[in-house]
Amino acid sequence: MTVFNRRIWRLSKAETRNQITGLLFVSPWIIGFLLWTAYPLASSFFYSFTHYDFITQMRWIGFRNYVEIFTDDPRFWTVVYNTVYYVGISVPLGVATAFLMANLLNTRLVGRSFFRAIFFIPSIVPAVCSAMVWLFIYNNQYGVINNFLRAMGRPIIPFLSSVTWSKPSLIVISLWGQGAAVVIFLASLQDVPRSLYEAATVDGANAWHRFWHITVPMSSPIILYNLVMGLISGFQTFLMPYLLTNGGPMASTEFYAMHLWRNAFELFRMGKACALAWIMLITVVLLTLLIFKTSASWVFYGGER
Amino acid sequence: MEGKKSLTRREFLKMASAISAGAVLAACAPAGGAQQPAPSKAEEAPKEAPQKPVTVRLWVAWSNMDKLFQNEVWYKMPEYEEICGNIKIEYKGSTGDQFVMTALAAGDPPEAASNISYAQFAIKGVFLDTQPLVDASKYVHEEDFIPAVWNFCKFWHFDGLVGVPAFESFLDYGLNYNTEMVQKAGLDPDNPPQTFGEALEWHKALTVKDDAGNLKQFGLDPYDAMGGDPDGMEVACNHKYWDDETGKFDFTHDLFVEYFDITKKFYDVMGPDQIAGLRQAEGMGGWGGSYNAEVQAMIIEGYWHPGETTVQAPEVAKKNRASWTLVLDGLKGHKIQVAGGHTFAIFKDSKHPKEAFKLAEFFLTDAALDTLFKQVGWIVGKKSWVEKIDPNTYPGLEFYFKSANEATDWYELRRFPLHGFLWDQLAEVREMIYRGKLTPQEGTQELQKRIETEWKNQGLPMV
Repeated sequence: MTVFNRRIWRLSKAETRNQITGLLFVSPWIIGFLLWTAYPLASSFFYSFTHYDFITQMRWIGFRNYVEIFTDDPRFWTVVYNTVYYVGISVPLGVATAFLMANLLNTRLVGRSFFRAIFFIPSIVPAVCSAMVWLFIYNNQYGVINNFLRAMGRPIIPFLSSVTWSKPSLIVISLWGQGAAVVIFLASLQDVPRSLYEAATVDGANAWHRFWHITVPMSSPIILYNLVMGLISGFQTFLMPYLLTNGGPMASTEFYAMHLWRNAFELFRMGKACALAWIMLITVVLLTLLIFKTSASWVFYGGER
Repeated sequence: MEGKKSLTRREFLKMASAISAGAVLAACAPAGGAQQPAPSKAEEAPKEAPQKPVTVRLWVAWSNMDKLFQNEVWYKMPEYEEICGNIKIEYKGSTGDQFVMTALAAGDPPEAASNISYAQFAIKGVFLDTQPLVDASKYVHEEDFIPAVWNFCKFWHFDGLVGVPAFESFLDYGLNYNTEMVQKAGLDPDNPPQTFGEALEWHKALTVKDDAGNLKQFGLDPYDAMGGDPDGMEVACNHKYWDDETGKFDFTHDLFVEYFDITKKFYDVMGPDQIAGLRQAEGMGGWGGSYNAEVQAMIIEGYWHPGETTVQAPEVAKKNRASWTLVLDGLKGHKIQVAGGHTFAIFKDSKHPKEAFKLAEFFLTDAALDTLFKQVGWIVGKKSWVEKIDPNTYPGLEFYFKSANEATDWYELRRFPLHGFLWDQLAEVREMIYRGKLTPQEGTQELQKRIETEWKNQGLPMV
């Protein structure tokens, strides 16, 4: 600390000039961060304790928004269930799918580059376009799957219109957009030393053993990364259900972010929406911490902790 | 000019800071006009001073009028020149409540908006009371409008008029049906159902499934009436859940229980998953699409249905016929019509509210109404103009014109301050009923509970 202070106070003129110049260069980011991230974050925390509808006078109401959310909101527990169901299945399944696809693409496959591009394309297709494509796939009347079933004289599958099928159908869509995770996994797989596989092969390990005892542990930091990122984006899922089902049928695809949005922009209950946002933030932080806490037992950092 | 040719970094930064600070100060300074010297009396004379153009921002949730505004058809009309003169319109289509709310929050609302949640905004006191402007107007007169259309502009907890009827504000309820599909099903198109019980029999005859039980065609989706609007419930029951006079609401009336009970039977015939699939998913609407595709044989819609169907599916429109909207069996004989729909709402804190009213006056001229009717298919219930329209312009339209004189009961829609919330919750509750998760009675009680809770939590006035 002493060293730090001495260094600050004993800057030469040239160093001071450099500091100022540096600060000036980074100031657009700092100002942007303060204005567009830090301030909204702090103000949303404040608003979460108010009755605020954008127009009429804001009123301080203490914890009433939070109490209402947990005790007096007819849809809160439904959206919590929906979100936990969706995140709980889609995130691990998405990470596993991306990891397996990356492994597949890491083999000496003919047309490997082509397949890598194919798998990545869904990640860069605008979500609205993806939604339209999936509407055509899932449609009861003219969807590709149901048209086939009809032609075979079989009952159709009401993918998006049945309470039973709606969430699994959205989970399948989420798996389709794993291109970015696949690319990250691919990069990590190419970093796994070949010598480890060679040594294992010499020791008589078969393909499964090599995968389970080398590939998985060596990729575990990236699995952790994708898991955490998937968790964060999973809790924020909004666009696909909004475009495909608008939360139906029977609120079975009404997820947390959609509920938050409805409170903010359909009911104009900004205070309650801010409280919902903070509950989500705290939940995600706690879950992330939990994952990090458990990561010590399953993430391999090459001997480091 | 001899001098230093190089610039040190420090000097550069000093100069840059000075220029930036100057730019910021200039940007924060009052508008140039404020700095101008006061005009002389000669300059103030109206004849000599050319009128400064005034921009009026108009935001609407529809997209149907986009082309008209893009093509600037209004500016070419002599009526526009006479009434609006120096007004330029900054039009935005497809702008719903969220856009308006954000603009209000920013303190810079548009001058006017239409097709927003009027009741929800009215209770927050954001609109200009246009009554004094109407009183002074030489173009807009209350007596020239169908009373229910005019009354639509009055809302609970708002003194005066929220705006004036505009764009699309006529008669909203009628049972439209495809005569060819009806005949093929062995039904008599000259004797349409009047009650939900009768319509259920038509529905059964018109619903077709394949051997595997997949729905191919159906008669009526009762909750698609007016695109799923909750007010369809009170029209069907001839009973208001919301009282504009007292500010009270009640969803538990026996008539509503009966309504949920009979409408559930329509879904029992089709299968809940199947019908939702035809609309893609519950809540997504698909309003009119299945009718135009001749998959749905009956639809409850407003006067615009004949015109819009003519534009979108002319062959189907030729087979269209309209009759009275359905009521509960015990109400047979009641001829219910619903008026109103939309208003040209002006925001009191906008920059040019008075100019916005001029624009509203223009949109109520016969010339503007003609253009809207011919190019979009919309009608405003201005009696002197409506009389000039050929009611046979589109198949089925005539019914709506006749209904204005024959209706026994009148309603005005979207009066409830929690209309948006109700729409959302009702969609879920009625689905719980037709999927057998709640009985009709439990459904009405659940709805009442949810609305009461939200009313209290939003801090709306208790009566």
